Amino acid sequence: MKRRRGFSLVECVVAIGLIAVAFTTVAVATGGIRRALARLRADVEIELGIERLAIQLRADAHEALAADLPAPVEQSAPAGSLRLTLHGQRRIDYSIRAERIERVVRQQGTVAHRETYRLPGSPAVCWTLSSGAAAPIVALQVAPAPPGGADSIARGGVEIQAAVGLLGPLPPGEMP
Amino acid sequence: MALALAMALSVGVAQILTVVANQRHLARQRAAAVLEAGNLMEQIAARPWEQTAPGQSPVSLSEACRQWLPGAELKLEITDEKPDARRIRIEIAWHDPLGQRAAPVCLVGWKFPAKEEGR
Repeated sequence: MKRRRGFSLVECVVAIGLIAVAFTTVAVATGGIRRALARLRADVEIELGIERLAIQLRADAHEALAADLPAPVEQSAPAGSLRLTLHGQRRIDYSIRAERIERVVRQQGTVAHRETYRLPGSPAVCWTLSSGAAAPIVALQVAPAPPGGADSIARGGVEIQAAVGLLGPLPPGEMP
Repeated sequence: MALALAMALSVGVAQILTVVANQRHLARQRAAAVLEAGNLMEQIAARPWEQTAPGQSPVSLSEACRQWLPGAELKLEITDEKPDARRIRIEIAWHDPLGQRAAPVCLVGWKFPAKEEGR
């Protein structure tokens, strides 16, 4: 019996086809993992920003003597801002801008510190100030993100509340 | 053989992605619960001293929290501590994406009477 050497054309085509299927599957899976990682990174960044903002806002509000929501005067901050008045002629303004919140600390009228916090893209972000309890509460409300956007905690809307003036006024003559 | 390997790889990757998605969802739920617990603590801190007596339930979970955390339950414990302090313990429990009870988020704080409240 004559021994067969090599492969037929059909065998080669089938083998190449199977290898192509395997490569395509791996490529699709890798692409999915890459996209998932990118989304994860964006979500984590937004969540960390919200956590940092919540900690800072509460610390500032607790220390504040008063809080008010001045009418928007800047075109770049149409959604309004929160103004906290503190001891020693210090003032902290939180201004809502495009997908971020800017915190500016002023000491006797001059800017002493400025930082920003990233916010999720949302159609509506606003401040509210409610009184009636022993201490007023300021709240930053971020409306739910539109469908198809980032799948972070902002998808269902976010609200950060902070009680104002919990620390109370300092005794006369005591520096903050 | 190659097809079998490719299928095994696809199944493995799909399982990993599912587990990662579930864990990510759980992490988001936890972040939302931590934020809600912080908000409730702020609400209690802003209340007058007499409205935070032990046994009272001055706060409740928000609607957004209930939507985000299926089966969410709030457990609030207020206990008197000497001298003139109240220990406030907020616990939020909910169901994870697989329908099981997730490990609850707990926040503890202390409230002291304001000086003008005469305590």
